[in-house]
Amino acid sequence: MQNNKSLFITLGIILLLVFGYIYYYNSFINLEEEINGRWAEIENNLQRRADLIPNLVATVKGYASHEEEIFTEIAQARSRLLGAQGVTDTVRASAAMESALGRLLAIVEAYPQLKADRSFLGLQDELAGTENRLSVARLRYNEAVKAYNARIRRLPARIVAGMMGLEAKEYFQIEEAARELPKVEF
Amino acid sequence: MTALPRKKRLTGPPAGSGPSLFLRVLFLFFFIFLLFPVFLLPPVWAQDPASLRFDDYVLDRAGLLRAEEKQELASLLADFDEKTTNQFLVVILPSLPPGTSLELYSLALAEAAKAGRAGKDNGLLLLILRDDRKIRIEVGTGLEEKITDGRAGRVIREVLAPAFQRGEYYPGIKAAILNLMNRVDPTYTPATGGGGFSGEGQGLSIWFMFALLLLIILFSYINQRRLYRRGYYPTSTFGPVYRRRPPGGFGGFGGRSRGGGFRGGGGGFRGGGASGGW
Repeated sequence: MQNNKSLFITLGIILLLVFGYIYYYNSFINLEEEINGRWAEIENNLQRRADLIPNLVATVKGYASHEEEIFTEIAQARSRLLGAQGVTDTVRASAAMESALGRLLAIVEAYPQLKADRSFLGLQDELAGTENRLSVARLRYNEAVKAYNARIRRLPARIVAGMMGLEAKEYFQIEEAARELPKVEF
Repeated sequence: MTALPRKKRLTGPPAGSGPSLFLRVLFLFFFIFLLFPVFLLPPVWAQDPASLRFDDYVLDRAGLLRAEEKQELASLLADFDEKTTNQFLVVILPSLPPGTSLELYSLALAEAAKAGRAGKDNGLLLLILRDDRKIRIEVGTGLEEKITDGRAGRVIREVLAPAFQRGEYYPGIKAAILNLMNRVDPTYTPATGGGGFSGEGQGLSIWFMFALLLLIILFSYINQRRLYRRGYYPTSTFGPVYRRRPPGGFGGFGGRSRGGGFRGGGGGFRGGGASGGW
């Protein structure tokens, strides 16, 4: 009788641990997938930005062909962005791209005909839209990272996270220097 | 046969004083109906965006639209929603609240309103800030292909801004909305006479309800007299009236008469669209 009772208790505890493990395992998987999805959204927008740039540069060149320096800078930033791997690298490349674009748009200010050019305006809208989508995607990514990081650091879950080999993920944080998004105000 | 001793009535009319009961009831319901429109008025919204209530397609807190313009626009948007499931909203505010940007605020509004159907994400928000002179078209994820950022920017630059510079707010907004609707669904045509229709419908329904209620009171009064003669006395002044009220009838009419209040379908936004000003 006593043996049976302690057997059941042991069995119960084992089952509890197993279910607990499964529960936390699954919730981490879910959180990770959420993060991956939101990262993909960031990458989509970075790609879109990269795709818009050749057209933009070509349009500006039509009016301001001698501004060689900025065009080179942009081309370099673009290839760096396309080759970026991992969060930190991508963040830095993106920041560099944004400051280059900011300078390009500042230069455009000096060319009123360019500013009024219809295809330029259209490209500018597309670029502004992409930048906005990027900043929303960044926000959402960081939200997901925050939820994940908070979860894996709390105590019962922490054990499972350790067993799974999970570590805290990085936020998408732009360094202060390149915080300005390329917005043009007329 | 001698008359049976009459039950002592605590309430209810003494025989022969029917008209005064009728008048009393009539006045009471008249009073309620005078108050009724108050319940239809939107509550006073606080400046805080999170507490704005999106129960209609058009929100004008800056007074750029006249009442009939707002009505016409709202019924156009409601019709579009009904026929194509795309939920377009127009929000006009005096200015941007402190500590936020046009884009962040517009996104917050669109998400709070839940414009668009869940899964389809086919919502759109046109935000106009009167004092800041800023415009933004926030496009739902599902509509981004049909209304690209470039197209949204063009609508702002070529339709809205010029009209607003001339002070023609309603014509500008209407033209912009029709343009956007056409991009999303070229097969859609606004209901003809849609302008004043729901406005009239709304007025008609209220009067209809009122007339119906009068009829009910009349019938119940007549019935009451009939019942009195048979010795049945109401236990309260409104006894027979209660029993005769059509179940849920008023709720149903009330819903329809409001001309299509907006209810967000939970559509998603991710920052697509364009900003501009005038």
